[in-house]
Amino acid sequence: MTSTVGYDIKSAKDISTYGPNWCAGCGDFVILASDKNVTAKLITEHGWRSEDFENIGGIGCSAKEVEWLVEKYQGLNRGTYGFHTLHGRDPAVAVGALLANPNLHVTVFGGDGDLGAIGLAEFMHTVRKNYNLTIIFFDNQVYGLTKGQASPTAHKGLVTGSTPEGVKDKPIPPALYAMMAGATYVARAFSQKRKELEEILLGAMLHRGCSMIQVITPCVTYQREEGGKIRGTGIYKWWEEHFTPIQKVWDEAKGMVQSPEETAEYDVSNLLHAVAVELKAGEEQRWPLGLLYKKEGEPTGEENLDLVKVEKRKGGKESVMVHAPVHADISVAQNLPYYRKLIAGLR
Amino acid sequence: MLRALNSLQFAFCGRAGDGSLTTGSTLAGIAKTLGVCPHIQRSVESNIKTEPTEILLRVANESIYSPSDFLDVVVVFDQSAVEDEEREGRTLPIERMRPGGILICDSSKRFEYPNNKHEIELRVAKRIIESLNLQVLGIPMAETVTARFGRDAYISRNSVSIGVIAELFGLPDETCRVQFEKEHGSRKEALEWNLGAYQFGREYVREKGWKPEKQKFPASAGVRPEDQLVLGGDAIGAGAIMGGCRFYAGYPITPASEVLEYMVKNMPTDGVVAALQRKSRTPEEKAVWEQLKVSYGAAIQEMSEVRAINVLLGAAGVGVRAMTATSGPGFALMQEGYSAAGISETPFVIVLSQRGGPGTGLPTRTGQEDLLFAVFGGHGEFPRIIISPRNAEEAFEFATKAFNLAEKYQCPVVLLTEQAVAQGLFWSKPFDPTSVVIDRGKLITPNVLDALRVMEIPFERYRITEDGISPRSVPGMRFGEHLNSTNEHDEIGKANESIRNRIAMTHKRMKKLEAVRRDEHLPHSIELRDSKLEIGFITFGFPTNATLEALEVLRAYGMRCSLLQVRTLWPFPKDRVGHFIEDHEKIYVVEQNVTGQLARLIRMETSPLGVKTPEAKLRGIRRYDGRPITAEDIVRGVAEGGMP
Repeated sequence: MTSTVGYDIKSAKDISTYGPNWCAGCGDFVILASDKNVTAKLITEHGWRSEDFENIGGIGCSAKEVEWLVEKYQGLNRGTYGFHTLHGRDPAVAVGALLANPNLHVTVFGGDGDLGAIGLAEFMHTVRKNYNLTIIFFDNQVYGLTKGQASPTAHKGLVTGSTPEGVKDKPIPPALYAMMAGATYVARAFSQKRKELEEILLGAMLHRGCSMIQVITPCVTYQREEGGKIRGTGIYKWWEEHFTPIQKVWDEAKGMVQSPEETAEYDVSNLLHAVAVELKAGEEQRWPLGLLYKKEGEPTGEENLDLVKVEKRKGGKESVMVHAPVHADISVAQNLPYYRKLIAGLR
Repeated sequence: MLRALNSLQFAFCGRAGDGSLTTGSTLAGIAKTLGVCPHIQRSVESNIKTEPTEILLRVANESIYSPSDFLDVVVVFDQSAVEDEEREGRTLPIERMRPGGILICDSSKRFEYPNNKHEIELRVAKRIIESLNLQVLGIPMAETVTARFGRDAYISRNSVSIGVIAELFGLPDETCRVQFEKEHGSRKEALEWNLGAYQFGREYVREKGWKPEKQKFPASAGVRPEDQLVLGGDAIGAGAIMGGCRFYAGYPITPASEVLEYMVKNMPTDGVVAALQRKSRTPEEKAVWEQLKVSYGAAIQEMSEVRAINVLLGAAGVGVRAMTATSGPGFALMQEGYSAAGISETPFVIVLSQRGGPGTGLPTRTGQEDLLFAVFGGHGEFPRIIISPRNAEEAFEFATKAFNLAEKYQCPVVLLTEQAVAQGLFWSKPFDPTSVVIDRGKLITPNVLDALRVMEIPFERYRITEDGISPRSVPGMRFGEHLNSTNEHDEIGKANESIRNRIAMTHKRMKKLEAVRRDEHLPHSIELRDSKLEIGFITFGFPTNATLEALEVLRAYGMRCSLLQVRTLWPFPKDRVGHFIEDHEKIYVVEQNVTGQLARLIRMETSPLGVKTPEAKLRGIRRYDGRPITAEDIVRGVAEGGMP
């Protein structure tokens, strides 16, 4: 029952006019703007309903995205639904929302502390089951809201408030974890390359299955250079030096994939290629940008629970049937024959 | 008209995994058919296959819901019933026998497989047997059964004991056979073995001419065939589904796994429908699964309690009735989600099945050590509702009500129970689904949202209202867009730390508890009053059952006593409890913890009303050894004057 009154989201401007409270120069502004653009595009061009978006934030600068996607404005509720949850639990809350109502478009806005440290188990198990949701992994290598400690993605040598002599441990590889665990759309983007970011984000939202985008979003306040000096927006330059095209890493890494039949071209649907690139780049503190891995047609977590059924029709068209537990008829009258059966089982 | 209580308590003692529970259940089923009221408690160690296990089955000519201290018939499948082999200081089942009790043992020689510990040497217990003047009946159970049916039939030896008991107490042969068919009917071989073993038991007793010296099987308590014998955990599961729960996420933990398994098995899903469909024959049965298709839910085993509670938060947040079940250690991990549900006003139900703590504690044993943890748990201050049932009947009723309470007051509800209830087997009248009422509180409809939009009134999820309860929209509802938030937030859910907002929102949330107190559907305290007011018992949960039994004993001795069962523990019924205390000369608070948690709650909540509760007046009767409290404990407690 779609309502006919009111307004529709026609562009990013219609989502919310709240001004975010991040530090000037923060990469998160761009992610928010991109997300709004993609949301508007999905509504206007793909017919998605604005009330079906459920944006889930954990805790941290990243999670605050959800705060700026909703608004009470001149007698209107604008924007999308969302849930600002707890540190590290955003993927779990997202799974609950999705399973209770698989019609929703669920997006997780989590940080490197959120998803890589306290919520790593939540992240891995969500990805593993290939739930149809999108995880945006905000990576700036530091904890911002607690004023600049190292996160688990911090690269070796990074000086922070909690690592005055530089990080000594190996960072976690979120993209590698995601693809190994079972995500079926894995990409890396840079907040300053907005066009590419929006393309990747749109692809992730449209992908059926679990998509994970690691977005490098430099912290202008707490990410320091070697020696410990805060860099400000100068940090962008450091990052630019450490990015690299996927194809370039692939040329160096293809020897790791020991199969003579393998095509020399990078194949985005080949897990081994993506893993080789990530391993190689990780060894040398490089961050390849772009779509790393994409696998279509894998059953999603909701399909495995029989909440969603995908049937191939003639002519290659698919029909998707969704059953949402939130829409279950829970009236006693409706269920009485079944309830009597359950009671008979207790004798 | 009350008759004198005549009860008989059996203990089936073996090693974990050797079928004692099944044997106890078989005899319970036979008793039920005869109209006798059965009650089962497990006394097991946290172990799968090797440690001593005791299954207590009490049968009576009246409705009973708790075990007794004394054993009348002990069935010995294993040496552990008569000897503390590992010198742990165990209280042996044989030591708890009434003088003149019946000891039924497997007298088979040692087997190497599958259980080399079963050879029973009674000489180590000679002194106890003589001093208690026990009637010892040895019968070669395993030997005979394996000789007749082969080694795989070993476990069927238990059924020999049913034959022995049936013959001793004159239980009708037909009733016993029907019960075996009910339990093993689907497996022809198992049925043959068990019936053969049972028959052997009967014949052996006849041959030997054994008769009970004084014990009698209780007369009928009027239990009807349609009545139920149900585990508390199953009752909670059934109540939840009928209360409209369509989402379950949990992590296995004793003693709450029964609920997880019940939910996974019985939640209406495609799989359940398919199973019904396969079995369906009649048009009525076909109609059942056709109707079920609009009533699907999801029940999942999650990766941890931390994850389970947060999955629940997400599910409940988008509008499904959602539940989890756990025990103390799991509830400890769920604290952040409990608190998050409080501030984000997300309704869900947590079944907290208590066991002995702290730490890992006594995983398979009972306790009431988490009352104050549930009342004060979760960081920060937020309203919560805590209700506690005493048996399967209340467990079912409270489970159905829990979801209404959660949705009406938009807060977490804790169904506080304990191992003795969750894993206890209770008699009850058949649950009545037509008694279930679904009340979704202020969940808004799309029409109202449309109307608000036409009038240009913004929808505010956290609107400040008279009773503190705001209308609620969920994702998928157009024009109800808002943010659920675990941050302090304004009326649309956006973070707001202003002084004015903080105070207004805190008051709004806490005000809901006043509305809860006034709710006529809340499980209010129940009172059983006597005319002259000498002694008053105050209880919650399982100990209520033993207290009710003790009450009859004390009344028979001419003592005037009454009982108050606190069924909703939070918000605490301070007026009701306060007046009850005022009306009695002496109060005993009966509970299963060492620190007197209910007594503390009473002192904390009733003293501001001017109720004087000096130490001499408010006494405690407590048991905290992991075993269910009995009527004997309570009578003894009264005789000794209780604990401070």
